[in-house]
Amino acid sequence: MRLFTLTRLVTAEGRRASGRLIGMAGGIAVGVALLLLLLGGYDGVTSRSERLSWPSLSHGESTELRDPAAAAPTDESVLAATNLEHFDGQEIIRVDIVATPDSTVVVPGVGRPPAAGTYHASPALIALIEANPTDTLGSRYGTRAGVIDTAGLAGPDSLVVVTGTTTENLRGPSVGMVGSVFLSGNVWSVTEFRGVSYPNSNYRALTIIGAIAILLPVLILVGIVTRLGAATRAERFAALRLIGATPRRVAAIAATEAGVTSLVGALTGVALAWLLIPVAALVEMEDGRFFRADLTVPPSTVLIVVAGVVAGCTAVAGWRTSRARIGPLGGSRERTERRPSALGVVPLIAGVVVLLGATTAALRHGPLPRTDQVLIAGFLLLLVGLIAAGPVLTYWISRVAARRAHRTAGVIAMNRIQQHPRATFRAVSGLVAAVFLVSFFSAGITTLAEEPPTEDSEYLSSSTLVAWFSPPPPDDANAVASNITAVAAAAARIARTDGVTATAIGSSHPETGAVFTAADAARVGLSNHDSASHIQVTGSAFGDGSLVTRPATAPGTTPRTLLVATDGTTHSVERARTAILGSELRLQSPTMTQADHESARSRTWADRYANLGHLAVLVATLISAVSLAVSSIAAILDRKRVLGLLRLMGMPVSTVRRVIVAEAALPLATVFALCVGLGILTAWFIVAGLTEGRRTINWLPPSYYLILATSLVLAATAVLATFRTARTSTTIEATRIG
Amino acid sequence: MDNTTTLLGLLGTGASYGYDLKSRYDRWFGLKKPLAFGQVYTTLTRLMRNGWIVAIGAEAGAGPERKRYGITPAGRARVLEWIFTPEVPSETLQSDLFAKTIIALLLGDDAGRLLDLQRSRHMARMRELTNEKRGAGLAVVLACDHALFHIEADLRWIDLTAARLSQLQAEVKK
Amino acid sequence: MNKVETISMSARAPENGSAPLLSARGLRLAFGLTEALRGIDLDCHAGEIIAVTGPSGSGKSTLLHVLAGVLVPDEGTVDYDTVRLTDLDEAGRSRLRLDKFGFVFQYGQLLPDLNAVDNVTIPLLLAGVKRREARRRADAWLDRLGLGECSRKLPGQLSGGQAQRVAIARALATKPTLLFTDEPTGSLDSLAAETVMLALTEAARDANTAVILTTHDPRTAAYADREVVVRDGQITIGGAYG
Ligand SMILES: Nc1ncnc2c1ncn2[C@@H]1O[C@H](COP(=O)(O)OP(=O)(O)OP(=O)(O)O)[C@@H](O)[C@H]1O
Ligand SMILES: [Mg+2]
Repeated sequence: MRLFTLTRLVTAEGRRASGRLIGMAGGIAVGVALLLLLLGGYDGVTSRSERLSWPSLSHGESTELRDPAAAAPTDESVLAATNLEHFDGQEIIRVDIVATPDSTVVVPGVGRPPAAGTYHASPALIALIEANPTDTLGSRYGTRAGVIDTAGLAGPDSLVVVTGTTTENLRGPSVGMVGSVFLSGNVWSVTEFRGVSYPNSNYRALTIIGAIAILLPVLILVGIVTRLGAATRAERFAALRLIGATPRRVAAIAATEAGVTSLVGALTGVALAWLLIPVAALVEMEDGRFFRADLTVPPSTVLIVVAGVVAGCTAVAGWRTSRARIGPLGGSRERTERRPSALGVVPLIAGVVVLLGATTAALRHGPLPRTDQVLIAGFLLLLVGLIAAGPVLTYWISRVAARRAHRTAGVIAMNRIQQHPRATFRAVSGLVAAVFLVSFFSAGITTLAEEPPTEDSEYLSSSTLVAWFSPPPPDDANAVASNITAVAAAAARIARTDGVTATAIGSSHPETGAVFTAADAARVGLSNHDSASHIQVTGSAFGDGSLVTRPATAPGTTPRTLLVATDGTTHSVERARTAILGSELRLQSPTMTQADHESARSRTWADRYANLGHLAVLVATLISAVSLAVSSIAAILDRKRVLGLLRLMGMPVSTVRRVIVAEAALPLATVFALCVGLGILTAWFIVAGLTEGRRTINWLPPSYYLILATSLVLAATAVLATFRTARTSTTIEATRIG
Repeated sequence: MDNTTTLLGLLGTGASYGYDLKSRYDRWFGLKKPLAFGQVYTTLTRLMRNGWIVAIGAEAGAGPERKRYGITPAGRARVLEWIFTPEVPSETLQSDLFAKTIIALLLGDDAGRLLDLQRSRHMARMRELTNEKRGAGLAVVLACDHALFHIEADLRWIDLTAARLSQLQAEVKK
Repeated sequence: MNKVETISMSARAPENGSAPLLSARGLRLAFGLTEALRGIDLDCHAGEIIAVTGPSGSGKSTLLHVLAGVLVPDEGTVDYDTVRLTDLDEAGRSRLRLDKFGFVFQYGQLLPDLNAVDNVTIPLLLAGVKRREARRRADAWLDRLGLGECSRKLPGQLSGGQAQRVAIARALATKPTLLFTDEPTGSLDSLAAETVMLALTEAARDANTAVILTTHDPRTAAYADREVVVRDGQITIGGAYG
């Protein structure tokens, strides 16, 4: 207890000291809160992905069926097929299950498989069904038998439906991807439904990078905050040493101080995290919002984090103090920093080499094992490398600048940086990391922007539904014939649906696409520039929904596609879609309008991470601005006596301000271009490396420059915020304390 | 130290017998070496000869120990002159200065002023010596330094005494 | 102005008969209940070296700060040449300090990150001198004060006496007319103190710079032309009348 009393006396007396401790505890609290949220988020992503990816069907105990018509469910297995459906631009995952009445198979979130003709839906979908007329949505599924509970859902916004059906009615499943759910395009026989934590290792790579992106600035902040007021504290410790305290005693006092402060900070952080969970649950990531429970960290983890942070802070403070070898003479003989060695740029270069190597290898030879891990390692090396190389580069540049400077502020600032390159760079290192990350994420997100459609492609009206059929086996003449009549009948029925203005059947073209008669084409709004008798339509079923029309001569016979034009209201479109889905047409892919394609395009996988990216950048920049303000103030406080005396000699306050600006601007300017360049390059490496070059990055969007400008403005604000301290702490009073 | 004027100064606080005079002297100044009786009477005789004191209220012819002595206006003037004349700084100055201070306090005079006067005298001497040092040979510089340090010692004592004057005053009043 | 003049005339005329460079009248300053200055009159003539001594806490530093226009007195005036310092605003006083005054303190006044020459160039740069020229002058001053070899050292690598001489070089580099120094030898031993004071007084004499210094050390005070003793915020010896 004597130690605690002593610590309190030595470190916690006075307003300035308590400000320092509050600052330290605050920084640690923010750090711990974010760490817990990140852990919760990481955990949440994993468990959620495990929970939600079961409709992929391939992860559990399941086998792919080559001939579903011949298969039958047993008590131990069900037949299942997953489809993607749309409603008003939203995507609905539909799992059709054929089960025996006594099936023992458990469907996640549902339990026993629903009986044929009934369905279980997620709460969000039920709300949607109830909010709309039955013939637009509800009648797609039959009668409701229950609700899917959270065990089978990604989050509160998931639109999932599990329907019971019969082997004959089991629809042809679609191919594609909804969030983390892969649609294989096959019917599966399933004995156990199971999800997977990471449907794709790319996801894990991106999640880890995102987490690091947020964590790094936090660590930098904690590093800065724990150094707060080190100069004044060193003087107190020196006084203690003078009156006979042993170096170990002093180290113990420093450690106790750090321990108690960090404990307070960590506990505050836990409370803060708890308060922030509802806010964090609003953040959409990957598959939408999280359940709050997903983000809650188990108490054991909280305990480990708190203990770890406290132990870490205590150990580092003790170690730092004993290493600083505070003598009885204290700070009067201020030791200058060791000159940073050129070795500091090695990790940076190594990082570039690793990324470059992994990406070229992936581009040349296809995916290598563990490419994702190598890319993460490269990314980390680069990030650490930037932080490590900063002081070296700053030192080099400040040496030149110190020689060139010709104004008072320049001379003072450049020499300061030259003597303390690490400390000055540390002040902006958070911002440096943020700029790197914002460049990285912004560049990575540009991968979203698909290539512009080819010139001669056109789009159907956004209210026209396109349904592609699976062609029947061409060698079975009977089947072909009955198919033609069936399609015609279905089309006729659909045409009678309320709100449908026209339908047109396109028949199979020998090469690709479908052929329409000129009359049909005109009714559904296909262009026919050359007034040909027939036109051939090719286009992307999964991509952007563009169609290419060209004159054709040979009309096909086998129906390939059905175009349904509507009057454009949401209800008409959905009513028509429900009619198509409810018909006996064997669809090959989801029935979509141009509007559906457009909203799907803005939901590609990279986009699902854009939120995380923006969040990371926001947090990183904000925290970095705080770090910058804190270190700028500390840098002035450490020199307040000298600066105060200089002001007493008549030096204007504006010079002190210019010193602050220069000390922040030089290290930032030094690595700014480097950060931007490396950030964009790294994004390219990672995007190209993970996709073997299928995707690449594009020009950065204007929003990037906006974010960049915002972070610079924040930095400027942080510096401006220190101006008051610059004025008040360098007055005559400052010179009296000696 | 100037025993003669010191005794005269003590008499300035009121007429007294030779024996009393000696014990009062010893109280302040005789800690190391008390005054001999013989010396007291020879000094009193000298003072009487200078007309600075007179014997009062004693039967003629009686021995000196039976006489009370009182100070004359001329004697008083002599004491004041002595007190407020700063001494030439020298190595043996201190005891004299001490005596002056005590007497001034006993007489209720401005002891601070005497210390200030002495201080100015000392400072002037130090300035002279410091100036002498400028550009002089090492021998001269060392000699001057020796003198400077001694004067400085006095000066420090003066400063300290000045700072303790009120304390000393209380002591004297007892 | 009038009042000052009448008082000055009543005072004993200084030897050279000229008007004082700096003239303070009736200075009073209280910090809360502590009356640091209680009516101080002081004149300082061009090129004159004045030592302000007195017990600790008597108000020496406060007096120095008021004379230099760092603190504003509650009452009384300070005139520098024809300028009434006590009527100027903070910016004006800063300007005056930079242009006309120099300062040397007890310790810790050098910027720790700047080497000796760069420290000396600071006031020159502030005064608008070009860096190259400033360095040349700074080097010349350091040479004069016998610090040629230390000119590229950082303050942390200098001894107290050397650092103090660097501070003197810095204070005199702008050729001030009046140098204020608070305990310039306070943390030095006798020899270092002597070196510093010799350097200070010689350099000040050559430049006809007046010096007002505070000290506890009689031997430092002995370098002055006259001594002013402050007790309890009042001048007991010296003062306006020299
Ligand atoms: N900023 C202040 N706030 C309150 N009191 C002050 C302040 N500055 C000085 N004082 C008080 O004013 C008085 C004079 O202080 P000053 O620093 O001028 O003394 P000094 O003569 O320089 O002492 P020293 O020789 O110890 O340096 C002291 O009693 C001191 O406590
Ligand atoms: Mg002082």
